[in-house]
Amino acid sequence: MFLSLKKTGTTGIALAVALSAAAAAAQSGYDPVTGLFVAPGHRLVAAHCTACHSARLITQQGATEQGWREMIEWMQDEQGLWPIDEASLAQIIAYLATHYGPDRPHWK
Amino acid sequence: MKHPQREERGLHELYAEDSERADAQLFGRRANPVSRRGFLKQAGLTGITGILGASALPWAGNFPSGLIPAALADSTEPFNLKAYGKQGLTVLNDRPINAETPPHLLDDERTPSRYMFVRNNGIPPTLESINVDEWTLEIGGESCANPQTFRIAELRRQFKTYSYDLQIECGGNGRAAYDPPAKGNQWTTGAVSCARWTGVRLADVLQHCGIKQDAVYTAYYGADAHLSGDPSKQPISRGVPMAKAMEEESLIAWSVNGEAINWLNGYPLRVVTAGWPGSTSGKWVTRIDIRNQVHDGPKMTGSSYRVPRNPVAPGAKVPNEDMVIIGSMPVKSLITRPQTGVEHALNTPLEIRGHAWAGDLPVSTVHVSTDFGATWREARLKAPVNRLAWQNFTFSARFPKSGYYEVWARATDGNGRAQPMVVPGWNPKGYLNNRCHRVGVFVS
Ligand code: HEC
Repeated sequence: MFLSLKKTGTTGIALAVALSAAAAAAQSGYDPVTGLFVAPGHRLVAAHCTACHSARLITQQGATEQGWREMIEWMQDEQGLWPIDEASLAQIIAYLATHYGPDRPHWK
Repeated sequence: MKHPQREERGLHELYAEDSERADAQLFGRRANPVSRRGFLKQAGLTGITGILGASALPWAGNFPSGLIPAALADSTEPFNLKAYGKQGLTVLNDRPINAETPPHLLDDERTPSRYMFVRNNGIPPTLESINVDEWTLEIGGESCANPQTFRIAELRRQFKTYSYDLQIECGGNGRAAYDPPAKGNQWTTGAVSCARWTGVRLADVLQHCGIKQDAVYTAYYGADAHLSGDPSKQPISRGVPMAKAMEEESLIAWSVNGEAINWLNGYPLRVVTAGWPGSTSGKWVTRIDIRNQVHDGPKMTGSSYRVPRNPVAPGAKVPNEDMVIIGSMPVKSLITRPQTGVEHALNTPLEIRGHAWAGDLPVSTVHVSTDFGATWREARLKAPVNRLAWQNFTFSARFPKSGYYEVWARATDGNGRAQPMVVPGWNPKGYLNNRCHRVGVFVS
């Protein structure tokens, strides 16, 4: 891992952490429209989860499978999210917990 | 807007994943599990000072592991919401708009509208649909004796107008620091403002409409639409206990800093109940009910704006019945000068400036440390402009030799409760993080 720090006078500092080759390749793997990490399940998430709010509300989070399930149930109970069939729901939750889990691999 | 495709990866992100691992990766520092202070080995010391560009890190041994050096912590570029009369805010979400203010833009004693944070739960009424002359506020509810409706001009004519400097902080300000991550917009330090609000007293209007004996709580309703577009749903409808509503500083406001309220902050009319979570201060307000029970509107129940009754372990699942509504916000402070990462000449004093506030309470003292918390000295603290305004502090810091320093500020409220240095008790929605703010300074 390579670190570089530019000092920009008294206005502050900009830090750039260039990633290893593998991680750098992954950086380009975001869907340009939603910003979601491109991996199996991301289309389902885009379809079910970006009608009311942008995906930026999703990509800020880091939650376990249970945490994601509870958030989705809360939106179904109180926020007008429609029912999602079991197979799609399983894929959505697996995608979210993998790429937007508590270790936040894609945060911000 | 910052494109989601990022070439760079912020230090924040690394620390958010696992601060101790990031410490080890970046600086070769390992946490001391007993003291939680990091051991700066020689390699680590070279690493950290190399990155910071300072020739030495005075008090290196005091530097806690798991803290990003503050000089690096605020390095994300701010984003522009100019079209909405906002400037320099960091956007957390664009639909609905949620944006916070970088610390150095909160330097003014009165926050200008353009720097006021935005926490929107729904979609504001379109600007074209808002007619100030026609806008009405309805007062009603089970415990209102004479329900009535007022135009804004009628409120101005029938009741005395008051202006107060009032601080409003989002209950979730600081959420980003909780681990495991807490649900919601990941605010860092910038969901707070203090500005001069003008309007009529909520108490005067409610009393005019008759408060019945059994009154318990207020409930506001706004003209913002639910994100789903379903007109039968409200995005948010909260309120406060009658005692808070009846305080002199609780306003129905149409103006801030002598101007119309910014559209994103509730134009043309909003409630301001300062010192309590910002969500109690309803925006685009069209109706206020006097209720005979604790209000049960959207975002009053479940885990919204609630914290566990008793402290819980990080990540714990807390049943709804063990969650209590947040009232007064805790004591907190923010350093607004210098901006983190500033370069400063040795042998000259550095002027430190900032604000401190404590919900319903006054702030009694602010202390500043420049040696990672080993010693603290009292800052000069001004009295508030009025109750529920934030208080400005100044401090003149001197540095004994060149190197990288951090300025830490810690406020204590009128009841003797001080800000914690580390993130306080975890809660499922990540509210009430009032840990101390830090900025980095390079002295040479
Ligand atoms: C019918 C509308 C709707 C749809 C569709 C929807 N949501 Fe939401 N969601 C909401 C509302 C309303 C909120 C509350 C927004 C706020 O507080 O700013 C919300 C909030 C959230 C939050 C923040 C949770 C919190 O506790 O603050 C997350 C994460 C989220 N949604 C994820 C999703 C995911 C994942 C999906 C797809 C499975 C989805 N949403 C689909 C309406 C919706």
